[in-house]
Amino acid sequence: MNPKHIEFPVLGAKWFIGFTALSHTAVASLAIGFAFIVTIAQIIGYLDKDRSYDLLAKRIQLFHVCIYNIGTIVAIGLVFGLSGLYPQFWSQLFVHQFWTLILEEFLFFLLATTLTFHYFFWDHLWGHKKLHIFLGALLTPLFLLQFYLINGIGGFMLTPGFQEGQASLSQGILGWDKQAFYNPSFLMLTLHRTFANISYGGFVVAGLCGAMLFRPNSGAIKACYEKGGHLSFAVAFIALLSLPIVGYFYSYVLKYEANEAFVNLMWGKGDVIAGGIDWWWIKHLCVAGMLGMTLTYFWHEDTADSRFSMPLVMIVTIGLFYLIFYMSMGMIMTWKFFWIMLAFALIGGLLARHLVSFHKGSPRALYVLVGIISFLTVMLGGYVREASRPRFVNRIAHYDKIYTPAERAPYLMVDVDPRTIPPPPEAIEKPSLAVQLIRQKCIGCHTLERVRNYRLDNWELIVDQMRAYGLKLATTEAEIIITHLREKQPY
Amino acid sequence: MDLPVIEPPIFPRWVWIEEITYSHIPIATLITALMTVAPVFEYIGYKKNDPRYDRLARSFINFSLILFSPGAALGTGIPMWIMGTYPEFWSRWSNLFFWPLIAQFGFFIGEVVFLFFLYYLTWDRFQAKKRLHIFFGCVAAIFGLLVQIVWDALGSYMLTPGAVALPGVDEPVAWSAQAFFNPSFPFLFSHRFFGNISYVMLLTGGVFAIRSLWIKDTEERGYYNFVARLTFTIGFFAFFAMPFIGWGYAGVIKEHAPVAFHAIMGGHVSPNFMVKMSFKSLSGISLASSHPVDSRRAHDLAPGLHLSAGWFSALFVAGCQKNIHPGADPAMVHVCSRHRGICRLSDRRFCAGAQQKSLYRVQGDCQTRGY
Repeated sequence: MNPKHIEFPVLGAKWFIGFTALSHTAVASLAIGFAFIVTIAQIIGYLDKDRSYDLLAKRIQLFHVCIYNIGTIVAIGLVFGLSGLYPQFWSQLFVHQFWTLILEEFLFFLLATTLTFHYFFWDHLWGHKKLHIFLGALLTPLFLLQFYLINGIGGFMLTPGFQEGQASLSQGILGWDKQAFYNPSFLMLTLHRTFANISYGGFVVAGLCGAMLFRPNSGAIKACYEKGGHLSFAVAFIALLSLPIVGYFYSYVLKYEANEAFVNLMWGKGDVIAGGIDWWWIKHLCVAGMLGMTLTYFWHEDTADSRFSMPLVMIVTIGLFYLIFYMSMGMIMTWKFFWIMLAFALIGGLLARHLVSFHKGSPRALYVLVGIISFLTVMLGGYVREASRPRFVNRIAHYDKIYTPAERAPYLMVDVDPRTIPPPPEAIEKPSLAVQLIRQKCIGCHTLERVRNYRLDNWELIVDQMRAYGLKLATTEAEIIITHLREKQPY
Repeated sequence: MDLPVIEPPIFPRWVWIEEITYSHIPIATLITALMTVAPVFEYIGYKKNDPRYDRLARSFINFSLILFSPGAALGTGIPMWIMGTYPEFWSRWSNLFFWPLIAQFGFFIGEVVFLFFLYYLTWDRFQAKKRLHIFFGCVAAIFGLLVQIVWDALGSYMLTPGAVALPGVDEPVAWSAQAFFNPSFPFLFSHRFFGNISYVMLLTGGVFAIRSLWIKDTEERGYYNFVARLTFTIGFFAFFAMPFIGWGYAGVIKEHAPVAFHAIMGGHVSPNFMVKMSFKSLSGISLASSHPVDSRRAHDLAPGLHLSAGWFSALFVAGCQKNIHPGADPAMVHVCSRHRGICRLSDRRFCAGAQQKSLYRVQGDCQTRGY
């Protein structure tokens, strides 16, 4: 049987999902940065008794409320698109991580309510400013928690972890799978996205402030946007600095846990190349250009508020650090990478200097430009990560074999006791007990790669050590594991 | 491998779905109705040069925006819960209605863009371009109604699928006009449209009336009195349409989903229906008798007409109960009790099949299928 599936005209299923997912990412990624900057602006405004920061925070939050709904609806479109175009994959993933998604949905409701109340009751809570700031400050951790949940699923799709996650998926784990959720790249993806979102949100706020500075405004409004630009640009810059470092370790994880994706990225293969362009390189050019621009900005920035400026020695140190970092990247990858990144950083720096001097010391044009580039960087980062990933599950795999077997059809959609449903046919060969034990027990603290890389043969001692560290392992189980490892059997 | 269903704790699956859906519906209906009437009030205010209408329209939109994000978040929960607890149903249902779901996504985007960016944010800026602003409000309202149309069509299909059976998981139909425009769709949509307007206008009328009692400022009090009367009157008229549409709706259900009809009229959900209709008749009487009697107000009705309308509503409800209740059919009740919910896929398909069969043949069909 050759299963049919819904075709999306013109774009095709893959590009429709990609386009919708990236549209959602573009908006949803702003949430953390916006919430964070709103809180900081409110706190500064409260402590300094400076109304302009509060005004700025209110305007950012209004923009946030408006775009938040766009993000929500695009997410709904993504869900509908996936369930229609990739029903097998989506249903599997959904049932596999149902409780993760339901918790995420609950947080979604909590966030929507908190965000709405925070903005629409701004003036009503004027006499309770601390409470209002607290309400706004709740948004950042809630947003972080929400997107950690999504990262668990997103990370799993890229690095299911030596087939353990894939196996648990095909064995029909229901609702929650800790092993799949805390997959190898979860931590790095989460760290990278956290800082990237703060940076992206900050640069976009600075960009919006810059755009507003182009308009004729009164002195107070102008001061508000200038302060907003300084504040958010500084926050975004600090977050940006961590990204190449975290990204390096992220790629290290991919090298071992998702080698095909790593090769696609580093060697420019698969969908990473689209239209003859290596989009991963373009993303890195954007990052290098942003580093050059932001360092130059802080070098020449002459702001009255010293809290958002940097001493020259710090800027030089950061510049040197990243020069060495990119040199080491050049050594690992290719020197072409180093020279081109250096060239783009220098071009970015020169452009930043020109823009600031052209606008008579006002960084407004620079804010707008960096805001646009940060948007492009987020889009390209999201695109190449997904494009590098080998296809997770075929669009409609196994429908005819396992999804709706005739003998199970009477049980579908009927409120029956699930225990009465006949067991599903075995999709994959069940691994031996030893393999199962190694996968379950060892991975609690470290990756299986570490076990594989161990060269000595004193497994008894190693297993005893692990038990001394706290591994719960019965003596018989320990013997099974030791025997398997001694015989150098695959796992 | 298969896709076994998730069994949520505490309550059965259907209770979770029901509760999450019911939490979304009151908010969604409120937003849709407020969005629909706001540009109308704004237009009246513009034509009459009366700022009270403009203020009322703006307050409606403001309130819609407060509710919008939580309502949308709750709405997102509905498909998520269904996908996990009824994955098979969702796959087949979205196979049939893929394009309406995608279209709904587009309508929703249009609604947000027009409502937030072009209607709400431009209210002050477009004072000099009032017609354009009202146009944006109308477009936002149309998008909102289009979203409602899609969901009403998809929802009504679950009750009266007509001749279109739900496709299998490997039968990606994606769109079926016959399923979309199923027998009960126009009735459900019109019933919900007037129901939304009635519910929201009466609710806001009540809120404004209470508010007017608390306000000491005479001018403000006058405003709240005015808007309370206005919304109350609109709510009253919209309410008045409901039994007529409901009667037609019941007729369609009787013909196309006899099991559901019997469940409502004499089966396991009939107590709910009776309570609802009792509330409705009480509301009709209350509305008619409590409507402010002030002949100087142009939009007030004569008191005799109020009372007549209220009594007519009550008699209508009582008459419907007598006329459309077919009396107990033990065989049919037996079938209904075996099927329990009438809200499961198998029942719906079974109801569709019943369209051209007698009730006894339906029962036979049911037994043949081994239910």
